[in-house]
Amino acid sequence: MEQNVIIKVEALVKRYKELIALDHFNLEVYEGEIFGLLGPNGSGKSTTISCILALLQYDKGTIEVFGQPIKPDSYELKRKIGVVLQDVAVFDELTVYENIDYFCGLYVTDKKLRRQYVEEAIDFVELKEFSKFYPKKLSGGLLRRLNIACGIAHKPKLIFMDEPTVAVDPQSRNKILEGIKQLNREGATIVYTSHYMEEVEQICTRIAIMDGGKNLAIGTKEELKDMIKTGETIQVEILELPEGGVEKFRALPHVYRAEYADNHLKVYYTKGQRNLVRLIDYLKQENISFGKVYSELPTLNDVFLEITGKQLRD
Amino acid sequence: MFWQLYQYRLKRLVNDKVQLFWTAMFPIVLGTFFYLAFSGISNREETLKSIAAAVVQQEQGGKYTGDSENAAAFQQFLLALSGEDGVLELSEEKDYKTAAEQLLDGTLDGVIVLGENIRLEFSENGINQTILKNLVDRYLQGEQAITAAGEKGFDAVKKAAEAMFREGQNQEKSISESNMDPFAQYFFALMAMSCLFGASFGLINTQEIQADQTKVAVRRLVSPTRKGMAVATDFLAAFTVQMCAFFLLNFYLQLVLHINLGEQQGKIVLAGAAANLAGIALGYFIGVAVKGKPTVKHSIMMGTVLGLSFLSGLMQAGIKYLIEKYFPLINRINPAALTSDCFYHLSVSADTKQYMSCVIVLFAEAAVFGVLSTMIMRRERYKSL
Amino acid sequence: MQTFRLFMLLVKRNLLSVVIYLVIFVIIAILGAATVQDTQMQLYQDEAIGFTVQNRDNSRLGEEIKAYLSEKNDYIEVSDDLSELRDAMFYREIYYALIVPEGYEEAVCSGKSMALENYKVQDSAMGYYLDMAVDGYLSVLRAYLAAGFEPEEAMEKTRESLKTSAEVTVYNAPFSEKAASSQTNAYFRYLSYIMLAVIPTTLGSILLIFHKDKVYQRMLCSSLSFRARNTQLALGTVVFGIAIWFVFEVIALIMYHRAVSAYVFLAYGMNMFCFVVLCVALSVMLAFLTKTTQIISSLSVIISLGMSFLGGVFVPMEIMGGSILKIVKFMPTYWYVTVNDVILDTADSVFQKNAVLWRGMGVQILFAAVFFSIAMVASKRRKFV
Repeated sequence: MEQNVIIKVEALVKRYKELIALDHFNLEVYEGEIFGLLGPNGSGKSTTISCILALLQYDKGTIEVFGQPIKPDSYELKRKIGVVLQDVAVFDELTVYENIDYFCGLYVTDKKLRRQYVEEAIDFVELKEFSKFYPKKLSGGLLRRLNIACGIAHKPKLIFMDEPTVAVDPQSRNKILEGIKQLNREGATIVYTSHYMEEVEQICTRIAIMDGGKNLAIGTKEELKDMIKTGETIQVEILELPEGGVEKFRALPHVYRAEYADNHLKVYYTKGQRNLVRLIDYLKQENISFGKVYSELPTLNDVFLEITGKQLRD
Repeated sequence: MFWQLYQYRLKRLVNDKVQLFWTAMFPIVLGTFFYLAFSGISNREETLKSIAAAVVQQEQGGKYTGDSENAAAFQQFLLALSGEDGVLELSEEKDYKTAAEQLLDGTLDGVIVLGENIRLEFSENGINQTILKNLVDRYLQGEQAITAAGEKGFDAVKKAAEAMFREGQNQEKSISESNMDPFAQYFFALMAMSCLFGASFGLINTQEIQADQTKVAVRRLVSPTRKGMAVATDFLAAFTVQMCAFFLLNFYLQLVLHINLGEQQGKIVLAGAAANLAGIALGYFIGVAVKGKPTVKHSIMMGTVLGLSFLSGLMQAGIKYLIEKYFPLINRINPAALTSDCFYHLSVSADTKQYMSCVIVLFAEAAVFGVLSTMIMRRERYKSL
Repeated sequence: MQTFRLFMLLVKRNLLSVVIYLVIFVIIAILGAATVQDTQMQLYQDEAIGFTVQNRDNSRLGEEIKAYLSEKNDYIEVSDDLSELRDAMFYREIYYALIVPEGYEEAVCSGKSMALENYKVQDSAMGYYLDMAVDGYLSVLRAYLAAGFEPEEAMEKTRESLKTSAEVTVYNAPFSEKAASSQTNAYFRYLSYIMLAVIPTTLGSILLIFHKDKVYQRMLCSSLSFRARNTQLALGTVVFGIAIWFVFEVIALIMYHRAVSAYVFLAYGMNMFCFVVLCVALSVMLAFLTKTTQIISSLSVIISLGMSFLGGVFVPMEIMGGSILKIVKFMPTYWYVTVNDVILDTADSVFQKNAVLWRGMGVQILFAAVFFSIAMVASKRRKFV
């Protein structure tokens, strides 16, 4: 089924003086996705979002949202967009309720409807008992929740979340991620940027990996992982290698590399199922005694590493 | 929508405790300082302090060589001028040495020495000394006239003496139509400055609508609410707060400190409104026209408001008139000067023509700054955030 | 020396703000000094007061009176319009306006009584002084007329008589006649306002950065001892203070080096140095007692304006009422201004037995010590947060 393209970015170029922040960047986001934008700090994620929101001037390229070019005065388009940015953007002089009410009010003019939305938003982020508090009295995690509530109260169809879980405790983080999934279930398309691959892996349906202002790879988790050579990596604790040593393992099917160091054997597989079973069978067959066995599936970090030669997190 | 935006903006501004204190209390605090500093002068008695003088005989023991009748006349003359309500405070007879010491340490304003001639000794050159000299001169000059009349006969002398001391030769009239407090000008300048400090609200407002200044601005700009609407409600909220502060100051000055600002309350409010608009608009202009860190903008705003206030005579009353002499155009466009002029015209005369022209120029300035700021804000596109 | 270097770096970063303030306020100081010459000169030198005469009679008598008054005072031409007169008086350009009504000369010379009219600034010694001068003239004139002299001769003889005047000796008034020395004095006086306006805001904001809770706690954790850090910060503030002092001294030198002798300049400089020390101590104290730049900025405007008004920087102390004088002694500015004035009065002999000079400077240092101690107490309390 042909899905609607919610966001279409073509050949976007953005320069800050000599620095090229976005280098002919391309992107397509479909309706109903949780789209992840993954990349290290400085790769251009926030810049992309700012450009899509028509906040930032860019040098070349086109951006369409909901099928129309987006400009600073595209008010109807903006009505359907919600934003949760990296920095907490609330008024210190207004209470939690008032902040949400105010920002929701920028989108929803009907008083009754707005009140309902605000209540729902407060429940959604579980800030009910803090309704009358002022931001100064809230902890970091609670502030983030407030930040989110302000961004989504008006039930937008498209939500941008720029590193929403930075400096948040694990519990709150999980709650936030769950909340995002919930929003998605209720019909919102979400663009989620982060440099935490675990989160992106956890909730995103499609992911784009970017670095240096370029879109390096795009696809679902599986598609991305398929792109790289490494399939599975198995580590085995072996005290004594048999004759032939590591070479023997290299000869096994789907193995493209094998190393032995510190009593640990590391075998790198390209693909294939049941590698672990085969290996253990082989070890038993050869009467090699072994201790612990670890199997690791490739992570997005591995994808990133292979594509760029860098780590996602420095 | 308008009401919703306005309400929240109002709350946001009012809850900013530091800013509120500044806007509302600072002029009251300063006004109180003025009042304390000037309360002395408004007191009638204090202005004309008695002049402390002493009459001594010349050290050498020589007596006044005019005839003794005249010497006595002179002493009578001095006595007539002293006493309860007199301008002189004659001290008891003392010797020259004591008098000289008292002169140097400031107890006496002057020493009158009777010797060959009448001589005066002072230790400084102040207004009291001048008055004292004047009194003695008057006597001496009159003496001459009497002597000249003497040549014409006794009758002439009598008539001359009588004519000399006739009263009512010079009547004082009041120049202002109401009680012009000599230090009213400072209070006018204070009110003007407090209106101009609306610029700080203007500045805050611009920061919260420019995406590269604050994060809440980003939120507002990505929303479908038109920027114009946001700016308008922001402005109105700032104006509301400023006007409230203005009423408060007014109330305090007129009803608590009893400074006379004229009878026309409505016109005072109008002037205040015009001044507040101009001040806030100035703040907007500084906020959008000046590129730089928030601290730099803040310095420029403070410096501008204080500078304009200075030029309108807040710290040194004479400045305004000096500018009037050499650069009158500045007084015509300085919002602080215009505002204090409004109040001056209201309190001192019923002449509304000059008042109105000041008010109109203030409104015009508000409009000019407002339009310029709008034009800049409209075209704002960010190259970086 | 990390902390010191950081301090200097922060100063450099914020240099623009500091410079903006300085430029605006220095202009204020220079302008203020220039105008003071006009208004305060009257109290010191020639007693020349501004006045005007409206000779509606167009008579010789009117002109004679005008000429007589002009001998010692400044005749200012003002058109015969009530609002213009009012304006001129309101700004003290004239203290006195004499109206010679139509038919005056005729009336006086024929012995009939007709009064002159006058407007004067309410209850001022100046006004009374001019009243006396007019009365003096008229007394003598009437004496001659009544004695039977013809009007022409009477006027001439009056002129002659009026030349008589008591001999005056003035002690202890070696201050230079040049207007410029008074201007220098005024410049330095204004400087106290400027120091108070500029130093706490700029220095205070920078110090605040070191006091931000997180930064402060982070520093407490480091191996840099409390004492070392404070010493370095102290060093930084001292350098800052000296720099500012230096800038103003240089400006003063450029502008006024011809006006006063080296001794006097040294005295002014020393006095200002004491005041700078005081301001720096005040800034340190404020940095410990407040939390944000906004608060410090607001406070410094209030403190600078308040202390300047109450301390006699803008308004001469003589003008202020008696009860206020008690509070005034608590203003550091009062002491600075007192010393400043004493320097003007004693001029070249400023360092000879001048108790007031040393006492005044001593009190300023005392104030600085008090501020500093408060700061230390506040900082110790914080340590154990």
